Amino acid sequence: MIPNDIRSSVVWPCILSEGLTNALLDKAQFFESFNEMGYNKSGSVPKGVVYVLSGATAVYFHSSPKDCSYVGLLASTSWLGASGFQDNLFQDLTIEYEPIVDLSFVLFNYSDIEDICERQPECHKWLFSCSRQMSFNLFQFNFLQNYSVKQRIIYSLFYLLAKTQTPLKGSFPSLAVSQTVLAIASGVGRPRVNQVIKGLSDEGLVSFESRKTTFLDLEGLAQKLDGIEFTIYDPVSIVLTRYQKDKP
Amino acid sequence: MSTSIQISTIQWPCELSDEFKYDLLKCAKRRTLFEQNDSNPSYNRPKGLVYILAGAACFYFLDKNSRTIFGGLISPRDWAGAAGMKGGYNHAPGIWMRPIQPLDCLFIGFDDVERLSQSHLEMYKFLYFANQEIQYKWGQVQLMLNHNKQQRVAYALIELLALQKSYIDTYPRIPISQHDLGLACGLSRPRVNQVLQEFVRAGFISLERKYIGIVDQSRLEAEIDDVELIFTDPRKRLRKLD
Repeated sequence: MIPNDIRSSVVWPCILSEGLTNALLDKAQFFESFNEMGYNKSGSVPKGVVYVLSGATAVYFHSSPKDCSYVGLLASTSWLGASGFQDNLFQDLTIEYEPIVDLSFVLFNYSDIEDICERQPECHKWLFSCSRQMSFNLFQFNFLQNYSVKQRIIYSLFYLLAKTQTPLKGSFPSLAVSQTVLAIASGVGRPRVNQVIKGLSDEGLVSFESRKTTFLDLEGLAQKLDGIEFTIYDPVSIVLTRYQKDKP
Repeated sequence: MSTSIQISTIQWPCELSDEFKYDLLKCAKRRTLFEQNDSNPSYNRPKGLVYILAGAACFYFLDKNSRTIFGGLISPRDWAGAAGMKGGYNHAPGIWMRPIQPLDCLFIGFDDVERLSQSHLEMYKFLYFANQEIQYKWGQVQLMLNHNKQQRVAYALIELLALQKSYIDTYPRIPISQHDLGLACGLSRPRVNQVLQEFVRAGFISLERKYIGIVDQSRLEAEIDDVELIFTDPRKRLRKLD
């Protein structure tokens, strides 16, 4: 049974009847950690729709050991896995995710969803909206492929700051993220991350030590993303607005 | 209503009642899609669902500097546009389409889709599965961004080749301009030209007026050997044609 505070915290992707949301939540399971699913670090997405309550994960498409491709980051309030429901098109295709900040989430099993779809056709409206939301979110990351590695890494930093609700109070906000994790989050190699971080440190924008990035000049860092279109999700204005409000 | 179209001639993305299919087709307009916009006859951003009966179009996204950033093809039996539905998400990326082969399609405006969804809850089942199919196509298009320009052009040429039903010459000839090929693979015309010249020198293709001849299909196909064909492999469709 899902605790009441969790039930009420779910942000549904579209307007749905209470009858449907209750039917879905009555069958759902709550997991405090990704590891509870029986995975150590990474693995296939569970056979169901996942609602991320907190944390962040890198997402990969995977069809064979040869074909595995990074697609982006998903974090709190994201819906994952709706595209895999009754999917006869490409059964061999799976989505893998690698949590970079451990996930707490709600899981809606496909078998339960199937039952609910039979009784409440509105369930397809929910699936359609979840699936569309995920594809738009990932679209933003693919869009960034047109920009430099440096900009992709900076975008990931802002995304993680915005989505993990990192406190921005204090003179210099910081984010607990190692270079390895930042490499996974940005879909680039660790040596390249190291190179970029060093460059940003030399410019006095960030400092990086002991698996922690400290933001010395958030506004200056944001300027590095000038000209990028945040078609779907703009973490920079979210972070800067919060920063202006919170800064001492 | 598109009177000449029967329910049975459409490839539906999932099991649906005949009543729903009939009502949906009642709203459908048969169009060549993009010829109706007088100010800009070649381009359009359809505000509705599109079902391709015949022909092909490229779909692409432009950044604010009008630079093409993604590009792909839609072809017969594809349902496109479900992701652009209003409601629940206000930031749907703008998609542009341009026919590259004479197009015959059905168009169902979003207003009609929304109106029908009030009386038919099955509408969302239809939208969900219609969107699923096109998502695979888009997924592959987005993955192509990870690859070099030669691979992107070769991939688009092979996809176009798979649309050719037959050919009477010694080798297949694809009717497409370099500009349209650029839209289909998300590259600028000069970059497409650069790649095509390389392919000509390597003996894969020939450049003819309004056509690209595929002189050495197997070597062109080999260009995408290292491409992550996670969602779809156009070479499989070519094998089916063979």
